[in-house]
Amino acid sequence: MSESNNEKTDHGEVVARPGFRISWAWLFPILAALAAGWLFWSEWKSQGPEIQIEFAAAPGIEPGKTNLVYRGVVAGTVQGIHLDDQLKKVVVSVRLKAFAGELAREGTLFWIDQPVIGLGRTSGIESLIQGNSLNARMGSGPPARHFTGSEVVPLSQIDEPGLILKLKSANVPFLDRGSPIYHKGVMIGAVRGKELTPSHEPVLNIMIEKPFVGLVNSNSRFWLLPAASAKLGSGMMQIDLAGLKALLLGAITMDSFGRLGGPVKVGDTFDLCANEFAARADSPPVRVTFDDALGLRPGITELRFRGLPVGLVESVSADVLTGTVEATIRLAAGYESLRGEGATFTLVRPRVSLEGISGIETLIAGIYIDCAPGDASHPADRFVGSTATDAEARDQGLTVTLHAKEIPMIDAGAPVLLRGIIVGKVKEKAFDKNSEPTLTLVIRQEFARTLTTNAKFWRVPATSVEAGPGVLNIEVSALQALWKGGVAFDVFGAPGEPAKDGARFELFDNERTARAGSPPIRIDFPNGQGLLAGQTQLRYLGVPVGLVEDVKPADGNVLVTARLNSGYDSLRRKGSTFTLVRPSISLQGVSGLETLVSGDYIDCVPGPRGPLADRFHGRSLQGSESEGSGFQVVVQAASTSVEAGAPVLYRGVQVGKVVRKTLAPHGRSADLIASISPSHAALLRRNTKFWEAGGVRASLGFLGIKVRTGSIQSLALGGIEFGTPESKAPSQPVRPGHVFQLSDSPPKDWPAPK
Amino acid sequence: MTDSARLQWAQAMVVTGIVLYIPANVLPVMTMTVVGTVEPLTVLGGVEELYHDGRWPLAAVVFLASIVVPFLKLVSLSWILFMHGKPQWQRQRGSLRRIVHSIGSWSMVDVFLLAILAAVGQLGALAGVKAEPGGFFFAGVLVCSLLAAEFYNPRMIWQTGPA
Repeated sequence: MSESNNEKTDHGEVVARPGFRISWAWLFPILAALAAGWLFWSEWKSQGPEIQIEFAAAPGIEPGKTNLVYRGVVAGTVQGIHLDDQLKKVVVSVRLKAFAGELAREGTLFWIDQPVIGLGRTSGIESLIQGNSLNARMGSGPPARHFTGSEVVPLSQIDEPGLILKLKSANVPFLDRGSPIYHKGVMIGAVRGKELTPSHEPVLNIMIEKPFVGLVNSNSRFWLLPAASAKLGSGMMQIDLAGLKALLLGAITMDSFGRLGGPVKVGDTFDLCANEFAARADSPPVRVTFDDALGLRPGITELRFRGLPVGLVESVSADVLTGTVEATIRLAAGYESLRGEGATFTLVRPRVSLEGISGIETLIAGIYIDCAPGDASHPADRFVGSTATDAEARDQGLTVTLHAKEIPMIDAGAPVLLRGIIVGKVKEKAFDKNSEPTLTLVIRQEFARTLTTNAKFWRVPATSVEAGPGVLNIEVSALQALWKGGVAFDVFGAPGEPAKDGARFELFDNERTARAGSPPIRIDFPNGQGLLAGQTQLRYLGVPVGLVEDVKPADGNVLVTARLNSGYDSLRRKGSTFTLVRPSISLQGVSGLETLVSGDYIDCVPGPRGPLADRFHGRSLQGSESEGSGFQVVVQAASTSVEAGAPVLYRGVQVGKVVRKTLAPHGRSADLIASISPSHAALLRRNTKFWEAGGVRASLGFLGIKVRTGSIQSLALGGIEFGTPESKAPSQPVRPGHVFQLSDSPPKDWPAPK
Repeated sequence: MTDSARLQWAQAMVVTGIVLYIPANVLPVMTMTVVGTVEPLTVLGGVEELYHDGRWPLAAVVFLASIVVPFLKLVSLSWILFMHGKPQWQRQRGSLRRIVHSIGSWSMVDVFLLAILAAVGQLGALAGVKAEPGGFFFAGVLVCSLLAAEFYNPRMIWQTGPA
């Protein structure tokens, strides 16, 4: 408002304007128009012709998004999709890029590439994410704008195809477009598609890439490569993985095995073998009839010669009229001699019973057919097979029988071990005339002479655990024994005469009873708590020297029959003591700790040199009491916190312990019964002073705090310490039972512990 | 700068803005690459996509802020400049210019957003955002309307008679 007022009151002179001047500002619109124009022009320039392609269906094609791909390069973009008038066809309009204009020629093949779920295809990952794409293969006709798309993906996607072959197979389970074809581990091609022939047989179309075409000849074999195979056996486990791609898509392997053949043409048909065995096989299959086909699996069941796989069951068919089954077996190349007349074929199956398993390897490796060669000069095609629970026919050697009261866990097929080596096996488990269970063993011929008449046999448990303080030993026997149990034998002492065929042996429960060979000794105990036949050990100075064989009550006592190992005859002397040691757990601590883990044991002390005996009286002691026999003195205190179990120290060294804490007869003082080990009893003199050593003692001084502590143990239980003041004439030694007074603190002149 | 030069600069800027407005809306402002899919996005295409995704309030905001408002700014400025020197609607022209000038400070938000997207949205092979020429044109439109509003002094609204 004020501005207009100002103008009205402005009386300045009106000057004519010096003409209308065009501002430089107008360059900006011109520049903008030029830039925009140039952009639009270059955009238009990069566009090639628009073409129309007809498809029966166009799944996954989106205007503006789906690209036309040629040799992996985006050569155009779908502009629009519409149906034709009769709604019979889908017409896809594609705007080609300028550089791809040459694709608009008659004969160019267009198809919709649908992603296959898999990693095998060259463009797999992109298609998987981007969705379907249009693909093209260049034609060579005159320029055209309308095309009919191909409904199937062409076998060769670029102009120079490799070798296209057909593979015929009964079924093609998991193979699909993109599955690789390997030759010695090198990918030489891929499956391009699968289809059914007019006779409804599946056929795989494969393409061998151009550089590898020369590898294929008319004798080439193709077989399925299993994605993963696991092999298991005792002592080994092997898992073969054939690459991630093969794992997902399956794979085919091609090899000619050095055989030469004629050239192949495009479109030739090959057989796809189920496995390498069938592919390698040269000779016609042999046919073996069996009573039943239980466990016979085509492609899996192996033919073995002395354990070595030499063939594979190809197919199994049943003959209803004769009631038999016929297995068609392919022999591996090089084992044709096995087909001679008179060859035997035995189907070996595992036997599982409550007591054990036999033929264990068949459980893991599968049922197999065992074979023995016949007359190689007369090859035959048909054989009659037999069935066995194990390859019993192979067992030849020394046969002996074992007897025992009971034989659990061992069944036919269990191994016989000599110092860890399998030298034979259990052939049979039966009852003898006295209805005692017996095992018939077959010792292999080469080990027969190791078995002597004085050999001892025992059962091998699957695992054995030995525990003691600081020692925990778990032994796991061989895998086979773990499953079946086993029998072991050994000769203790000088070897005797070689055993004869048919000899009889006793089977002991375990190695210890087998080792304890000497005549038994008998020990009476007041009670047999903790005594276990076959487990409780006899120990001398802590070393196991024998084993309790039997425990039974007799005349109000417990009669223990024990066997001492050979070499410990001194323990059989008259006057030897046998003490049953049990753990004792109390608030004062645990004693006899090892008995907690290893169980009670009988402690032996040999008697004086003299005649031998076989009957002894045993004692039963708590673990702590066995240590408590020492030089006992009484320490009297007005009142004390020292408890039973507390150590008795001399110059910081434990020389005994407080065994008991009681009240003095008149209740006037507390009595600590201290047991001093006999070797230190001489330290006790009449003028010896006892004082409390336990706990933490702090004394507050002018210059600081002095703290005295004993050991951890004495912290908890307290402890007493004694000392004898130095004097020129040593005081007199004391007798057991001498009474000392307990003072609170050490004598002033006694050196304090550092 | 004389008033005449100011007027000419303002007019030139509006014309430039109008020229740039076409490629700004036709050309893609950015390409989004999400797991291999390269997708050029124009402003209008982005609005459409948001609308089809069911986020129509967001689509409306983007549509208003990025298409309608720049357009209205150009139209208003054209009208103000066209009416220059004429005695009618002076008060309305004044307040309209003030509105255009004040919302001008917010108009670059889209461009900043694009710059941030292009800088942050780099997730390697998985996703990427790249600014395209359309973005420059779009920014050009905004800068032109800002400059036009700046060159055209509000005082000049009240000048009457031939410029």
